[in-house]
Amino acid sequence: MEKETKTGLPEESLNKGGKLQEDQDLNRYLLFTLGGEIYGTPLMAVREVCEFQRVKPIPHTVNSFLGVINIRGEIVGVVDLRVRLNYPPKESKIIAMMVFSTEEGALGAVADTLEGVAKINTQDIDPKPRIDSRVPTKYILGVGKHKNNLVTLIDLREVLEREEVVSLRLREKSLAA
Amino acid sequence: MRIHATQSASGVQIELSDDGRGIDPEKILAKARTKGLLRGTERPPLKKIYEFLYMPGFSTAETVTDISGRGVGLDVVKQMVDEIDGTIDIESEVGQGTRFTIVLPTNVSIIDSLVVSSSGQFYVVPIQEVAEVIDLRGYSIENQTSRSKTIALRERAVTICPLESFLGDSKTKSQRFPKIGEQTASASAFSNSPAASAGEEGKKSPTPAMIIEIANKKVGFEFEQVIGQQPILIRKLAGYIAGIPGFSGSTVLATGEPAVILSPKVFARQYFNEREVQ
Repeated sequence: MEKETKTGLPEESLNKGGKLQEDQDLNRYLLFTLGGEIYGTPLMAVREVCEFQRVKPIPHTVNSFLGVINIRGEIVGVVDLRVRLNYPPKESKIIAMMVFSTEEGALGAVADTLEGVAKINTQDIDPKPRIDSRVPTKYILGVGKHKNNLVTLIDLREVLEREEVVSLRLREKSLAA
Repeated sequence: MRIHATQSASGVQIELSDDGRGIDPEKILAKARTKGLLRGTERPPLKKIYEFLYMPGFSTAETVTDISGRGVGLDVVKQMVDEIDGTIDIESEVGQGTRFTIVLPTNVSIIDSLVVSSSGQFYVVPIQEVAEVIDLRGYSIENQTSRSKTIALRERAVTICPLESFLGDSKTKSQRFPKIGEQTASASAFSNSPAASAGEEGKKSPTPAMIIEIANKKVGFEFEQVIGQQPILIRKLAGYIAGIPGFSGSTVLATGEPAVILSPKVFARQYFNEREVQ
């Protein structure tokens, strides 16, 4: 991975780097897999990739919310993409996770594997693919081609931005109270 | 342009410095005079002169171009820093450069807490909310239902409920993801864990309960283990997990493990309310 993964300020690096840099950054995707399928999410939206650590479960939260972890003193929630994106739960050895900044705080996301960063040019992306996907269409940015593989490009930050973490039953209960 | 940040116990200090042309106090004075903010030959001390820069619409850029005089005004920066009780200082030397020093207080509050475990998970309870912690083995149970039991505590009947019953479903979830939620024998992380000495006392390990008192009414919450007493730093819960009743914040334990701060008084109130309904 190159320098742009380090910076936490995507807007700034875009402004400084000028048009060419901007194009390159926007064409980069962080690839991950879920149930054997390859997905990509825009690299610029990823805050960081960190080593997987033991997750502390939080009661009264939905099944896709695994719990919280400590990243350099910051308490960060972790979402299981398998559950969130309608894949059957399966044990897998998780090595790393992606971290995104959402409006309500940082959120980590766990996939089956993280594959690295790939450059996919706009002309190699079909923006309106006719595909059957477990992922709701509104989050799909398109289907790109990378080394003879088809990569489903999704906006993970957007997926997490809409995350309802506190279990529905408790929400209803506290509304009724 | 250099950005330098340091953290101290009281806050974070951010220094932004450049080796540009600096801020000319004469220009600020001239501008202040044309704006009618200063009379005649009045000359305030340098610190006061710089303060004009924080006024809305006060720009030393003579003309507004595409690049200059377009930024977010210093007045906005000052306002935001003031809002969180921070400070901002300017040092500048004409021809040498400028340095802004922003000090932001970290909103820290440290409280004494009791670290307890329930279903193998650590939770933190503010000590001020707990009237006392008792070992249930020393009390005879007067009455027992499936959900609670009653003991006589200094000749007063006190109902004891499991703390677990307020903590929902965390156990089932960690079972669904054994690899992810894998629980080590977490209590051993604390060397002074009472579990180690439990064996010496004989047959049964302690069954602790915290007694909570609200408006002269008492209720107890039975839990697994007292892990220890620890000063902790309270942090807000992230927006997406805020609003769970009785979960008042979060913290990082001495072991580096994150933990939820519970408010047993909220659970006690819940308990008394439910009992009134019945």
